[in-house]
Amino acid sequence: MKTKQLLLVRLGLYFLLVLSLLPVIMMVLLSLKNNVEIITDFWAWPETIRWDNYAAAFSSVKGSIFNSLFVALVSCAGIVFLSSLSGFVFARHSFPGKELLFALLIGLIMIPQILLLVPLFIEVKRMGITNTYWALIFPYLAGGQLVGILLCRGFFSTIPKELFESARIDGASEFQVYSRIVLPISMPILTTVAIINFHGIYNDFVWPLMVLQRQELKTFAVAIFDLSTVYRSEYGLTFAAYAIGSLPLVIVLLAGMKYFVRGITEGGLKA
Amino acid sequence: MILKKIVRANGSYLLLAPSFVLVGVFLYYPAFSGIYHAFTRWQAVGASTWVGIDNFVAMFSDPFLRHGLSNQLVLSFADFAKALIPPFLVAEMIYMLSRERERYWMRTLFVIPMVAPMMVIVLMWYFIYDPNMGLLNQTLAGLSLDQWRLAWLGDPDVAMGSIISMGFPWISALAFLIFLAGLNNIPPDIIDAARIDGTSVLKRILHIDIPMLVPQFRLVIILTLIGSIQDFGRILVMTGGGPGYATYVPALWMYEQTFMLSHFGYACAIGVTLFAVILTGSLLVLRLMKSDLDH
Amino acid sequence: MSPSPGAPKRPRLGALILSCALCVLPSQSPAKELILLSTVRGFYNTALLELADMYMERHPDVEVEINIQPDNFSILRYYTAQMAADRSSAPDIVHGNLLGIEKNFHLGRFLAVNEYLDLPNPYADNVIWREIFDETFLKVFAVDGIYYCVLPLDYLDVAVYYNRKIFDRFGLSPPQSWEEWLRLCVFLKDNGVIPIAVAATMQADISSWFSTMFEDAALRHFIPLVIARPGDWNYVEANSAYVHDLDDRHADQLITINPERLAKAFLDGDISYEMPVFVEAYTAFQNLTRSYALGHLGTDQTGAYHLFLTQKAAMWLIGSWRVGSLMRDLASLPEPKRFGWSVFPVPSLAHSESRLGPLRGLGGAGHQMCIVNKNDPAHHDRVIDFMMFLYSPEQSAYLIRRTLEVGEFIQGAPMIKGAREQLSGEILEKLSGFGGQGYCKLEMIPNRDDNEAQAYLRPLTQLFSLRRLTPEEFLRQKQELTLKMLRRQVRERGYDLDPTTEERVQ
Repeated sequence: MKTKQLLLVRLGLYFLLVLSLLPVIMMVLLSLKNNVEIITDFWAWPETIRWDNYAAAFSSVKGSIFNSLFVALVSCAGIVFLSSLSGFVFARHSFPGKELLFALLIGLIMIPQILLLVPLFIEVKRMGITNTYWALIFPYLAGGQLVGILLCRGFFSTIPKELFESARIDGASEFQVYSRIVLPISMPILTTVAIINFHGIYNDFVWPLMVLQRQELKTFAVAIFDLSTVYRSEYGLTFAAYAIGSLPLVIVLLAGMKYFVRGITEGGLKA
Repeated sequence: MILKKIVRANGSYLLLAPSFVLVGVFLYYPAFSGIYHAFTRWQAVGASTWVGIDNFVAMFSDPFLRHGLSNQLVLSFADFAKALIPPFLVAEMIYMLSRERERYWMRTLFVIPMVAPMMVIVLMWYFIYDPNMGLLNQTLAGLSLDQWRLAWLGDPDVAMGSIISMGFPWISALAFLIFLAGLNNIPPDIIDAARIDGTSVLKRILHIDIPMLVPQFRLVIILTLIGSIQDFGRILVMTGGGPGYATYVPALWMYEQTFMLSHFGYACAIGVTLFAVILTGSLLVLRLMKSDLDH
Repeated sequence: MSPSPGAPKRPRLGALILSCALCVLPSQSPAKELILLSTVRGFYNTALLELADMYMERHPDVEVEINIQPDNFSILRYYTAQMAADRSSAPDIVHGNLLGIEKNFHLGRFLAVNEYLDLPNPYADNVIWREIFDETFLKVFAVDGIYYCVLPLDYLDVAVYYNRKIFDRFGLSPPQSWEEWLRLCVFLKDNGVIPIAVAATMQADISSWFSTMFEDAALRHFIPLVIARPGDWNYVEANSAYVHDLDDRHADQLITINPERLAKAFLDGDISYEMPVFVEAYTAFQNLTRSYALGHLGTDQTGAYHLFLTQKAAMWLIGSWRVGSLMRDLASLPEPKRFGWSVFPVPSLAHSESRLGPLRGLGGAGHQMCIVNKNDPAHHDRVIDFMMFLYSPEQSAYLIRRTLEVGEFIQGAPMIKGAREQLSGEILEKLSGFGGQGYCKLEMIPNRDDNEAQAYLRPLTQLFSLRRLTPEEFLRQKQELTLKMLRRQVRERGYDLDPTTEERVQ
């Protein structure tokens, strides 16, 4: 490749990168200004950096961030557990109806949320778990494990049988084989599954909107939407709230970025 | 014979039980319930009456769905374009970089925008589009381009375009990674052969890269189809469906039917229809987009 | 498989999960009687919580929980969700503004408090409860004119805030007629000032409230047709004293409209939105929309507010509940950016071909508190007792005073006699621009409480305010929709449309 072409490519990439990050940059910038400044002089650098925006915003969103985090972490832990367990069973055991059962699970991946929204809502209502974390966690577990099981089965089938056989001969129960051998080996792929699900759950808006009405329980996505609809009078505070709410996602993604990227690129996702 | 096998394998079934119980209760049951109730009139928990295809017939004369259909078509095609073109271009551009280290960094950097929660991005764009305070109109005023200052979300002619444009430059991290992975999987001999032959980069992209990436394109199209049809959250936040019918999509109307009007049966009918569309669309994609790589 | 030494591991895991579950399950509270009040954020919140505490001190066996939702739509979602299943977890007292009061009453979900109003209020020196209210205003909210399901906390109305500095600069003064107002707007626009800032999002279409005023002015023509007659189920004495004088803003205040007669009048074609009086009304309204700031349909309340606050717009169409926040924000601006302001009521047409009546106030209440029917008379008594506590002069005054003290906002002038005096002079002065215009007879508007009708009407109203629909076209569609919805209601509720019998949804 000619160096001039290469330079153009690089410039193009950086330009696109800045454009992609612009809303985020703007959000941080605006969060540090006070309301009057935003109204009167939009582009100016803040006169005094208003860290108190963050203090005030924190107290109003910390509840919802906790809710989102709790639901996401519990769900991801559960999803990882279920994916690896069931994936392992499908990969390494044989039993009547194995392929049929597998198809019954994986076929559900094709069912989009839209069909389930209303009946699931009514069902959850009848079970009496609306306005609890369970209304979120159970459906997330049910749905999130599917792709995980698919990936895990594929992964586990590539692991040599001997590894499991020797453990079994030593007298380990199936569950011990699972926890002592399977789990540690599959960390990379499980991390990918966890991160994909964490990202999806943290961002989920429609389902929590339908199922949680009590203020104390609302997740971040819903709470921040509420905050913005009626009284958006404090711009600086609002943006600070957005920034704080982004932090968990930032932390999780940056920490697991390596696995995530590797998981997708080497997993060779295609239809 | 089989019975003995089943009994002996009870450990496996037991281990699979958690997954299946969850799936049965929270996926299969609502799915069938949804399909069943699409044929009923259902306005409170418990009481539903069978009405046959009345709901589906009503859908035809519903102005929200008539407009919703055309809006959805526009939205979905735009979503396809956004999901296929910019991420692919960026993937190609990174693929062109020669140094491994640089590729790695670029790849990571373009995934960074994923760290912002979806709702935050939507709300930021809502702010950008504000006719008086927003970034867009403020910039246009600053550049003395006042005639271009429009009511981005308040003008029925422009509103859908504004929603589509949200997220500029539309480089979805997931799609981009999928394409990049696909490119990296092209056997290097083919690339080398093309280079030796003197094929221009553009020709190589057209004749080699794209055909070899068809499975990846299929996946992204299907994922985008699902997302485009069922994600009404962004529209709810930006315009609530207005002005007029300009940004209504069927999924949003389904949500309103459930929450504002308590017409659960009708809402299920809409949901079932949308599901059918997604299913058909996905099957069509898989059938029509054939690739030499399939056996 | 051989019995494994590792077996105990699984039960331990189970115990861990179980204890996590127990942590997040709602904790069992001691068996106190629970009163749940659901209201909207931003107004009276602190004072309400404190008043709830005070009540609980007096009555230790009662727990009063104040559930605060961000906005009216959230309350609608919350309420719908609770009522869709069993009612035990639904609120007892709910902020009913968006819930469809008439529909809920007819469905048996809201309680009518007529009998309770005639009882002495123990928290107000045993004065008969009814006498503490402004009777006229209370009646505005009566379903079918006779069922009192709403206890309004305050009086709310909409009017026109205007920037005195800008007006003085151009030598303008508040317009006395609609025509004059339109001319004033055009003048401002020609001089580079945005005439009117108004919000019109899905959450709150303020612009449509002003068109309601016109609808009322036109509908009043038909009162003689639909007023309840002797023998009708909701006939009241006041009806015989009714004099049909359109210039009298208060003539119809205390009369009742018979809903069956109204429905029949529409279905028989005796009233039709396509009649000239409506065309004139809506055309006049549409002329105003030309002076709206750009993109009013994408402007929420805050956006419109900022236009006015930064003096880009000379006038602001909004209600009395923003008086407090405007005063506060202006005080926090630097001196050169402040400006004097006041409020003028919406002026009426000076000359009307079809003799449209004057434009009247919307007579709203910021907090329309309704009591949910839980089919438990003993519990209702307790809930009413709490309401009597709340709606008594001393507590009402406390509500206002405390709210202002902590810097929260009131929605409008308080309803209870004896509480007005608690407001400071400046607030009273600003609030005086609201009210005094009479109240729109909202029960003349068919399908007003029907969420479905409103949902179908909304896009039409939006397009109309953008001038994408001519008045004729808009009214044609509105008429079609009105008839369709009326027929649906008749069908679904099994009405017989007989004015002498009351229709109730089973």
